[in-house]
Parts: sequence; structure tokens; C-alpha cells
Amino acid sequence: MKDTLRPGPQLGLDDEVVLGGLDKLRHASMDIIEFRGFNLWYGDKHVLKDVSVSLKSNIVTAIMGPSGCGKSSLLRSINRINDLIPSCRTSGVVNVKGENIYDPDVDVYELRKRVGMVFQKPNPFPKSIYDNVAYGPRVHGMPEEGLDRVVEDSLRGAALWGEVSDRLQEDAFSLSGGQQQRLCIARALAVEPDIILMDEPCSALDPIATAKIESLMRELSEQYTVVLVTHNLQQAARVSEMTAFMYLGEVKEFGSTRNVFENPQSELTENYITGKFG
Amino acid sequence: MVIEKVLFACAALSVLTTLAILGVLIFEAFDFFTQVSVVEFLTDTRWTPLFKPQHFGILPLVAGTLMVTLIGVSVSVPLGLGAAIFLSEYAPEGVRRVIKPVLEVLAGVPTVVYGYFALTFVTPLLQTVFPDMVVFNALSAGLVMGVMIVPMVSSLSEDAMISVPRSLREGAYALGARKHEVVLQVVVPSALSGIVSSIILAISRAIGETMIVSIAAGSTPRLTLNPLESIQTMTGYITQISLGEAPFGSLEYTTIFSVGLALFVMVLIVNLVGNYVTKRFWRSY
Amino acid sequence: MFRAGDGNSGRALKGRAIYALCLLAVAFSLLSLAVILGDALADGLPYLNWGFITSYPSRFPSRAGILPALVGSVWLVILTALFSLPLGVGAAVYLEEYAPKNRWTELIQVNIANLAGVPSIVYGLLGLGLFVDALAMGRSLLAGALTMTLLILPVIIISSREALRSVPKTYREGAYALGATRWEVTSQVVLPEALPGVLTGTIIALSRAIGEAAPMLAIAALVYVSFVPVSPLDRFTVLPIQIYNWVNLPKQEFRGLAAAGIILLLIVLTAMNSVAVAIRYRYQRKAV
Repeated sequence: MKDTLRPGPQLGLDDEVVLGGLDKLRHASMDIIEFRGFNLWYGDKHVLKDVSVSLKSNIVTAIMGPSGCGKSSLLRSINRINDLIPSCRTSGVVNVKGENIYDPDVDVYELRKRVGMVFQKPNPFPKSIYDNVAYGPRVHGMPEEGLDRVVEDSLRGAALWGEVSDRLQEDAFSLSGGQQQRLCIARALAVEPDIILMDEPCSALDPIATAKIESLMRELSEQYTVVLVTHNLQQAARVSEMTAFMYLGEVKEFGSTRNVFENPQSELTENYITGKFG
Repeated sequence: MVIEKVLFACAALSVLTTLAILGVLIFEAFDFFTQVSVVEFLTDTRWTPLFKPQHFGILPLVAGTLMVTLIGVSVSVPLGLGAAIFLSEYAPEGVRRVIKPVLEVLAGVPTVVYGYFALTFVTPLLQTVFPDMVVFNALSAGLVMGVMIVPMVSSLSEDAMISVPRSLREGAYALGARKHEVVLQVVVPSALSGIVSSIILAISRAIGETMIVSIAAGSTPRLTLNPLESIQTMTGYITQISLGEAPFGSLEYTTIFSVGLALFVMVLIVNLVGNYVTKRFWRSY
Repeated sequence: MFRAGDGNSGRALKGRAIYALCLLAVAFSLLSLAVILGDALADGLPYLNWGFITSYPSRFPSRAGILPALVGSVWLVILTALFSLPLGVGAAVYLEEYAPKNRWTELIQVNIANLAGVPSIVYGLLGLGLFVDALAMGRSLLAGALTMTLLILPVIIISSREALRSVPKTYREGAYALGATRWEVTSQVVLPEALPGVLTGTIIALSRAIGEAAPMLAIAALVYVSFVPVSPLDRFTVLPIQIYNWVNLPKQEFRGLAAAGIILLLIVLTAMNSVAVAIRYRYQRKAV
């Protein structure tokens, strides 16, 4: 039985949106990512304010909100890629699988092996398709013999194998935008992460490519935990089991996607969903 | 309207200059080639226009030029690339803003100064390491030339690396790569086009350099692979004869133009190859 | 779980080694610069005195001086500036303000880029064959200045174009809207705005010219100059050539004189570059 959201003017949704696998939520296991009193600054700008939220494993969690609300910064705190920005400061705790990743003892490179990321604009390396996917395993010391297997598995996992299996040595830039993005997903899968972070992965793609990646996200959540940042409400509703709504650096609402969309607790959320702003 | 014509003439002067260069070189060299065959010029392994028996094979001069260039490039590429990587990937902005212009000073020092340094400082120093090295040799000149060319390589390579988009770096970091892995395996390959063209530029600069080799490399045209020996480069030969004020129209006089023509062609070929190679590696992001 | 594995310490070590190597490259280059300048200073300072600047070269090192070369260099720079500034700026103005986008313009631009890469000794040969011989100017300052002009012209054109390009389009449009002709706009609005940049580029190009020995060797040729040039048709020598001559002489003291000449040359160079930089900073347009 499929759960559907009843469309209505108050929700601002045009078509019926099918919620996937709501039953998964009932069986979702642990809190795999836990923010506790987490703050982030870029220089003097206080970008994330006292965020405390727990994300569950093996589902797709969507983070949505208007521009500048901090959703990307929140996502990028999970794999600490924010560290690359010199003016970035944090306080508070982010537990991944029970360990605080901001602890000084943590090896951030190991962290990024377990928490993968796909970016807004596809960013394949100027290498062959094969070498793109193999880059991560190679860097982490995997011997050459095992690579063929890993590359194939990853490309299959990203639903790209069929399209590229006969031209693995070709330059990655010869692929279309949607294919490049799936290549980036395959690249992230190759290091066998537990969590996959996706920062508006479809915003540079056409609707067909977008649909392919959305269905891929749902597949991936069987094996991985997917955290998705999106500015597209319908996408959040289509794809995720849980949704967080952010505004000006705070998580204003967080719950099952059905509840957030059908029964928002805060007026702010409702206004956003019905398109009054954002 | 007149003004536009005047201004056009100024601009067209550049085309005239190129034609004049070719014209003068070919015209005077033509005189040379009526007395010496092109085949001999290109294949004879001895260059002795000032002694009897006279030989007019340019190979020793070419070999001298190439040897010094090779040594110079072997010094400037590692130093220049290392400096470029440091400045673009590791140095904080404040440090970079100070070091970069200071490095450029290396390019502004007149080449006579480098020649002086090669002869009076580097050569005695190297002679303590290589006792059988003679005063005039290719190694000192090549090493010093390499230092002179460093800013050329470092500046252009750094520009190329800085224009590699951040998204590529982030993609590599997100896979758990460390900084040196991101730099060497993603940034440098992405910037390859710019890096290669900086090296080509350095090569053509080294080939055309005159003072360092005239002062420090010697005036003995010799076909050899030993950098500890005295040699002569194409530019060194031209300088030597120019100073001697060979009478206009004499065979000696025409030799400097035939060598000059060969030099011009060599630099042209390097630049053309460079253009081709750069285009092959070019990627736009 | 997020602690580094054993394989990782190898990687971390490699990272530190590479950082060290790159740092070493920078340090070595900077050190070389310091040693080169320091060496010349140490060797030359004892010989640098007022007598040195005002005397003529001599077979006796104690009496030798650099006056003819100094005067020659000054003459050369002035004459070269006289020729190259109008020609270079004129060409730049044409290419930036007048030139249509057609094949001829493309050809001119490619040419200028190519000429910038031609070895300076080839320019010397050009000057020798064309000015000294064919146009019968002899080995004069005039021939030298013309040769030098051709040598630095591409550099002046390129930097002047940059300066012209940095004048905002709105300046031009405002003048055109008032009915000014292209030349009026160019000469009354654009050029004055671009002047500091043009001057800076020209002075830097001239400072390079002062240090160039190769092309002047081909033209001037003289090894031993014992007079000061008084007209553009006189024979001459320049600082780098005099230095070159002294370096090649066997007596040790001449090395010291060469080094003193180097110091003098560097002083002149630094002075010229400082003027250029001062102009640049004084007139730097505030960020729009």
C-alpha cells in the first residue's frame, strides 16, 4: 500500500506525491548522526545556531529551507569538509556512529572515507571513468588487483555500469551531466561509506536525469544512510522518510516527511511549504 | 582619419619587424650558404670557422645550447613547480603576497649579474666537488641559468593551479584524500596545460640566453655529453664574433647570421611544439 | 573508529615530506637570490667610489672607471624612450580603440606575442644588419636605440593595452554621448586615465632594456671605450657591456670592478623600478 500525500492548496503541491517506504521508518534502527548543541561560524557570521537533531540510519533524510538557512553548512559539518575554510569555527558535538567527529583525536581522512559526499555540480576529475571511481580506493591503499571489482560494483551501485562498461578508459568529461553525477556517486560508493551526503545533487540536471538520481537515492538508502540537502520541496517529499526544515541557522522542524508536510508544527514551516516565502 | 592611419602604422610595425628579422637573417645567411652547403652546416660535427682547416658544422653549437638548456630546465622545473605548489596550495595569503614578488626579482636581475655569479662563485664552488672541472664549463652556466628561469615556471604554473576550480579539490577531499594527494593527483594534472606551457617558455628562454653562457660556459665548440667541459652555445658564438667586429660581408660575419637563423628556427620550433602540446592538454572548467 | 589506521601514518609522513620539499624549493630560490646579490655586493663595494663613477676605463684597475658606460646607458635609455613610447602607445591605442576584429588585427596580435619571445641576440643581429649596415648608421647610439626600441616594443604594447583596457567603458561612453570623435575620446579621456599604467609599463620595460647586454654587444661591439658619447651618431658602450668586459679580463681586480659595475647597474634598476611602482601606487584607481 502506498502512502500518498493528499494535495491541497494549503500544501502548495501540484500533484499527488508518493511517499516511499514509510514503513521503513518504523523499522529504522539507530541514530547514526547526532548533533548536540552544535554551532558553526564563518569568521563572525554565526551560521549554525545550537543545532540538536538526530538522523536515523538507512533512510533518506532531507534538509530543506530557504537560501542562506545553513542547510549546506550543516551537511558539510558531517564530513568536516568545512575544515577547508580557514575562518570556520565550531562548538558542540557531532556524533557519527556514537563517536564525536570533532574530537581532536579523530582522523578526518578516515572520517571522510566513511562519510561520502556528492556535490551540487558534478565534479569528476580530469581522468578516465575508471580512474575516477578508482581514485578513492587507490588513495586509501587498495592494491590494484581488487580495483576492477570495486569499480564495477560501484558503477552498478550508481546505476551507471550498463552505460559505461564498454568505455571505462574514456575521459569522464565525455559523459552527460546526469551521467557525470552518477559517476560522482559511484566514486563516493567506491570507498564503502556508511553515510552519503548529497548537496543539491540534481540542481544542475535536467528532469530525466533528476528522476534517475532520485530513484537511485531510494535504492541507496537500503544499504547506506542518505542525507539530502535540497531546495526543491517536491523532491524532499518524494524521496525522503524524514525531513528537517531550517531557517536562519536553526532547525525549526524535524520529523517524518509525512508529518512535516501534512501537519507542520510551526507556522514558519507551513509558510515555507505553502510557498509564502523561500 | 589620418590619425587612425598613423596608429595603424605603429601597430603594423610589429609585422614589419618580424619580416625584417627574417629578411636580415635570411639575406645575410644566404651569403653564407653560397659558400657552405646546408648539408655540411647541419651534419658536420666540427665548428671551426676561425681556424684552418675550416669546418662549418653547427652540431657542436647546438649540442652546447641543448646541454646548458637541459641542465637549466632540470633545475628550474623542480624548483619552480615546488615553489608554485607551495605558494598556491600551502602558503597562507600573507606569506604568498610577500614571497611572490620577491621571487619575481630573480627574473629582473640582469643576466650579466648571473654570468658573473656563475664564473666567480659557482664555478670555484663546484670545483671543490669536481676537481677536474675546468673554469669554463656547461654545468655552472646551466645551474645558474636554471635559477634565473625559476620565476617563469613558478609564476605561470601557480596561475594555472589557482584556476583549478575549488569543486575539484573538494571532491578529492570528500573521498578522504590528504592534502598532498589532492595536490599531486588532482590539482597538478588539472593544471597540466598551464604548467607545460610554462616549461616550454622556460626552454625557449634558456635557448636564447646569451650572457650567462658567454661568460661562464666557454668558447670551445665541442660535441660532448660531459657538462664539466668547456663548450660553446649558439648564442655564445654569436657574441664572440660580434665583439671581434668581423668585417661586414666576410665569411666570419655571415656565420653569425647563419647561426642566428638556426637559433631563430630552433626557438620557433620549440614555441610551435609548445602551442600544440598546450592545446592538447587544455581543459576548460 | 575514526582513528587513523596503520597505513595512514605512511600517508601522513609522505604529506609532510612533500610539504617540506616544496618549502625547500621556495627557500632555495630565495636563498639563491640573496647569495647572488650578496656576492656582488661583497665583491664590488670596496671598488665602488666616486672615482669609479667618474673615471674612464684603464688598463690599470686602480684608475679604471665606468663613466663612458654610464653615460652611454643614460643616452640609450633616453633615446629608446623617445622612440618606443609613442610607437608602443600608438600601437596599443590602435589595437584597443580602433582595430576592427578581422584577420589583419589577429595577425598583428599574434606577431606581437611572437616577437616577445624572440631571443634578444636576434634583435641585435637585426639591428646590425639593418641599422648599422644597410641603413649605414654605423655602430652608433642611434642604431642601438632603434634596436632596443624594437626589442622592448612588444612589452610596451602589451602592458599599455592592459592599461587602456582597465579604463572603464563608461568613461568612453559618456564622452561619445556628448558627441566627441574617437580621437577626442581617446586622447582626452582614455589616455589620461591610462597614463599611469602606461608609464609604469614603459619604465619597467626600459629598466629591462638597461640590463640587456646581448643586443648591444652585437651593435656596439667595442671592447675598450675611452670616451663619452656626445651625439647620437657616436660610438658608445653601456653598463652591461663594460661589466662583461671586465669579467672576462684575467686580473683579479677587474672582477672587483665588474662587481662594482653590477652594484651600480642594480642601483639604477632599482631606482627605475621604484619610480614605476610609486607611480602605480600613487595613481591606483580605487576599486569601483
